[in-house]
Amino acid sequence: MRYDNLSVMETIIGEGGSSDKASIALSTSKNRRIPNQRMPERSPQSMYAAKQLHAKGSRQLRSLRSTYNCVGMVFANRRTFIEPEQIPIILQDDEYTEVVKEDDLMPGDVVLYEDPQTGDIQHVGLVLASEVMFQTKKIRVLSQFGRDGEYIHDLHDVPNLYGKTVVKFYSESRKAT
Amino acid sequence: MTLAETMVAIERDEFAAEMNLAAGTKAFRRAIREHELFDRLSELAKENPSEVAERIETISRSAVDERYENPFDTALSAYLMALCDVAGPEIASKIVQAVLRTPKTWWASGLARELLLQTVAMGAIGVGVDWRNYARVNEWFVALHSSSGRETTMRELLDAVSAGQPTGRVSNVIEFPPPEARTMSHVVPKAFLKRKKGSARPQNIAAARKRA
Repeated sequence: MRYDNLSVMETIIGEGGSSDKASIALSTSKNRRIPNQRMPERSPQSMYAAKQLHAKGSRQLRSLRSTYNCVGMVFANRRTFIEPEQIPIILQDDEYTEVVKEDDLMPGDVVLYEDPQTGDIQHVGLVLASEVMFQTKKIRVLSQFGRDGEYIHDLHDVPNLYGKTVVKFYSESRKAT
Repeated sequence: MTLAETMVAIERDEFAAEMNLAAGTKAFRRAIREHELFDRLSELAKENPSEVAERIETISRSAVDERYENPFDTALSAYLMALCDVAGPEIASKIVQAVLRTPKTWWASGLARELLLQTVAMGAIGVGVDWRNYARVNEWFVALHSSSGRETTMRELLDAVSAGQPTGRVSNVIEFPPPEARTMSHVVPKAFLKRKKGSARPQNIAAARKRA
């Protein structure tokens, strides 16, 4: 009894760390561990409700899985849940640079949705396409909506829960000059 | 809307889908707090906390499909947050333990563990820090550490838990001796105790500790 509770405490304190059995080995390119936790799958009924709620507008459903979040989709190959607070560390260690001009965007670049007041990262996705149609720039993004499934959507067509956000783009790509 | 109706709405798949849009723990908890159903629940829980506590107990005993996450995970999180806003540490620790017994929860068990640690810290160290402002326990612990005005180490916290467990009574409330009555104890990790004789070093450490 006594030890069981201590085990719980150790899990609490090291949550998401190397001692947490629910996490996987994941590091930045500078070998800093990225805390993470694998999540259980939600029931088909629950995912169906999510689909009913989100599959509208420009959104095209890609997948209905709930075992990872948007950060896990972009930075961990859809294998685990990573808190958005880890993103700045990943971007820094993996030497991402901000793409300031939308004209320079390439498929595969990362898009961050930030709260303009707090700076908190509300959502993250991957740029799928960036093209000009009828003199209008159209950017399509692939992202996992929380644990509610993956969607391909227009850049600004994200759920209201993320609030008013500013978008920032980052790229790890290197080009010969 | 009555309390029963509010709880039915909170337990629907639609509420879970809306809250599970959150990218992380902080956003999930904020989304629940900002939802109108949570406002209603909080108001009603003040008047009748026992009904919400009973609902948590009932859910904790109900059977689940082992293949999937507990369908009440999001609802349990909302109930925990609402109840812990109005209940004292003793009731909080009871409902937290009920949630920790509930199989296949994710958001709710994370929240319950942090609340358990909070009740532990309040009882053992006597420093109350409002956990709700912090997304993760490590963040909360840093705040606890800096606000206590003295050295409070992780080891001390673990020792407090260790010392507190044997004094627990028949009820599920965890009780702790006052800090001055606590004695230092060393925790020997389970893995070390299980080693066979061939791998002698860890056992020697355990034996040396015993001798000391």
